[in-house]
Amino acid sequence: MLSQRQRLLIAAVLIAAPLLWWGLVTPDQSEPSSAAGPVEQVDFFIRNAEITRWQDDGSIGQVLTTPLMRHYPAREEMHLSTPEVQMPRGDGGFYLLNADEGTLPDSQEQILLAGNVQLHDNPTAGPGALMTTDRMTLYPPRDYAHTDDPVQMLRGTDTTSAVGMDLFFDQQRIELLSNVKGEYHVQ
Amino acid sequence: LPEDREQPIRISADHASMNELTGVTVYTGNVEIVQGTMVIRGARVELHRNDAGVQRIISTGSPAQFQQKPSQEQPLTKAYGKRMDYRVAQQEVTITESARVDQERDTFTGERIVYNMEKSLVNAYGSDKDSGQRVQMVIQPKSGGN
Repeated sequence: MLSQRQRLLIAAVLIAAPLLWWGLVTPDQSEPSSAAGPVEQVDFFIRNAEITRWQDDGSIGQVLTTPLMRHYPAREEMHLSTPEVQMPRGDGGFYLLNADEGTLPDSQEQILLAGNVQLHDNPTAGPGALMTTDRMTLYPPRDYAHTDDPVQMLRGTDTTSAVGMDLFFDQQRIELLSNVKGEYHVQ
Repeated sequence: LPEDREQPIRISADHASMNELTGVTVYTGNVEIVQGTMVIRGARVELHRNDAGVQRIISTGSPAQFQQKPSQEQPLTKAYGKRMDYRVAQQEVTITESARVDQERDTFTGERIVYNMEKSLVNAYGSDKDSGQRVQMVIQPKSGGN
């Protein structure tokens, strides 16, 4: 017959083995696993932001609105959710741009709009034009925007498409850079 | 064709500059404009548009070219000149600077030629200056008395 002491020893071994195995196999949850990568840090965010830039002569240069703006210090830039930008036109009206997302570097020299970029020319009279593209970079201090992507423009029933575009807001001038096709319906 | 005027105007080019203030778009580089059977080609084309639509198309080239089929029975009418001014509402093309129109087997040249697209009528004008270009027409004999 086994003595009391032997039975205790056997029980201890039977319990210790699975505990040891479990301890070795399951990873330690307290440290993030290296596969997910370091989570990028946001040092501040702004909800329902409206940023106005004035020209030297006191007139409005640009109005940027976004429901959520997050600043990433490592990248020195802001990420904008569904941004909307108003750029003044030569005749006192405003161009209106919107997109799925945007990026505003700390230098504020440009705004990169990406995803469903739409430009409404908002004329004071006559049919407005809607231009669409995938990405567009705005250079507010220079009243200028550029894209290398295909663009489509719709004005009433007239359509124009091209690849690449330069837009000069103050001059209300659009340069379509290549592969231009237009269709105009005669009244 | 008579129904050309109801067709949309289709333009293709290498580059375009749109001025929203003036409503003028300048197309450059292999510019081709098609409206039904009408075709205009040029190196540089100005398209004038207002709220009512396209009003005028000015094509320049070396030379600019125009062609259109007046009717199903008639062959293409072709025109050449350094400058062509197509007034959409009037359906008239004014050709200046080395203007020439080939209509069936007849040829017209002059300082200025106005081609009426609705009536397929050619009006050729000489220069006001003595030394300027005179109107010249080469009318081929019609075979079979028609």
